[in-house]
Amino acid sequence: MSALKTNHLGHPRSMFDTGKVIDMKATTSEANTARVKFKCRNVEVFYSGKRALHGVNMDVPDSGVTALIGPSGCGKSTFLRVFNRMNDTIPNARVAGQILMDGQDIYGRDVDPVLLRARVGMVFQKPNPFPKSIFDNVAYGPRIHGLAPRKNDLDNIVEKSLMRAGLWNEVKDRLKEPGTGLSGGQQQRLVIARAIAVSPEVILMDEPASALDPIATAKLEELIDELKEKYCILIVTHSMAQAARVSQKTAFFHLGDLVEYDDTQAIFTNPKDQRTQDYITGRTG
Amino acid sequence: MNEHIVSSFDDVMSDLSSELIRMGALVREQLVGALKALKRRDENLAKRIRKNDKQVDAINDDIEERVMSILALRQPLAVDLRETIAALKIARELERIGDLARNTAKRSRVIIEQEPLEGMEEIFKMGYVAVKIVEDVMQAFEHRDVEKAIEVWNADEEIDEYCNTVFTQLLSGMMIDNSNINACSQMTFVAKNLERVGDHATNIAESIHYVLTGDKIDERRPKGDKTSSTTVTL
Repeated sequence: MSALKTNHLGHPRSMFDTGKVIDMKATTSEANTARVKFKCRNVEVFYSGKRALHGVNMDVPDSGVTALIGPSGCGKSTFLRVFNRMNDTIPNARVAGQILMDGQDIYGRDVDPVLLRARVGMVFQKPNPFPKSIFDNVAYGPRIHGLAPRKNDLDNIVEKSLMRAGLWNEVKDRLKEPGTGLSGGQQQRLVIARAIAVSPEVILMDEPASALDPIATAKLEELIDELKEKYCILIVTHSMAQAARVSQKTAFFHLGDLVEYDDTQAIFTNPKDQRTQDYITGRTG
Repeated sequence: MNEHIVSSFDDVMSDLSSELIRMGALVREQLVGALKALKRRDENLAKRIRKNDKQVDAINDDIEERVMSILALRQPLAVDLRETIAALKIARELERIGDLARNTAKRSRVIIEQEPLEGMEEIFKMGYVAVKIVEDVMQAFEHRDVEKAIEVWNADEEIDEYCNTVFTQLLSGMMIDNSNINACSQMTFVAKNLERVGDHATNIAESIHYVLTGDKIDERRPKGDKTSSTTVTL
């Protein structure tokens, strides 16, 4: 007689028959061994000679979501902007230390920041669609980077990007309408579609949900959850709950220092540093 | 620990903790009362204990509501999250200890109707240890004393040992004189109740340890209760 495949609770019987014990710690350590996308060594940022970031050392895994949290002025956005050299655009800003992306120094002389920003896309706090049609917003990057030699290729890229950003069904019949006519949540997903249209490896998000209502926020978080399979995502957020929900790794910054960097679960249930504890529990430090 | 920026958060957490301390004190009283009723053969007291269990249940409901409200309104994290969840678990354990006190008071009715049993000192000593363990664990909670929590966690073994002795005594008592069977069989349940009190206190100690350290007590505690395999031959 063949043995039943499930027990009375509907659990697979084999799990019990083999006496196999599920080791929860194994999953955690597996996550820890993910490949490193960015290796940051002693990263400092100066604004007009004033040090805003104090020698940050941190490895960012190549898949999944890494959240950067901390009070205003702690250096988290400054740090985020290091990864696509956005600080280059700020007069009197200077970056020191080393940031290796897949082993290559992104501040090396041979690195073109424009090409780097195609590999490392960015989404800002306020949705910033270009004053162009929905189609042209998404097509902009592939056009200037010459990624779509034929019109057909461009159509494909636009459709695929909008689909991946979870916006296709809402806009497919009005691609010629201005991107600025969409709702805030839709605009934010449009700029994500624009970012992923150039096939980046990394997406940087600087408080991407802070201007969105709860429904648009939920859709954005759902999108982040899907995108994390394919992209390395770094997100700056002021919402603890959001950081806890969307990220696998969390880094806490305070007064320009990286105070604590660990698995998100550890940060939010049992942080090691008193400053982290005080911040995430809303205590006065 | 530093205070919350929103001071009302401090207030709700401190109220939650006070409510648990109050529940612990009431449960301890219930346990002492149930043992006293049994020892003094006082059915009126036993009745009161049975009735008072409703108060314990009411505090448990109140704590559940408070925890729900904290989770919904404050979204606690880190030590606050651990404390909130632990409060729910500790209240549940205390509620079960309350049930065991009520059950003991229920069984004492039959025991009181029978002839008094001889040589029941051990079960009352065991009762004393059970009361002490509840007191100690709630003190560990009140004073956030992780050492004391670990002490309680280890002390449960003493109850288990008592339970083994008492169980053997009761079996012998029944074999020697079968007119004791009614009272003795009820008494074995009382002993088992007290042994369970120790287990619940141990669970509370584990919750306290988790709140205070963020880690679980990882050593395996030896199981001292051997009553499931105890037999007596004349």
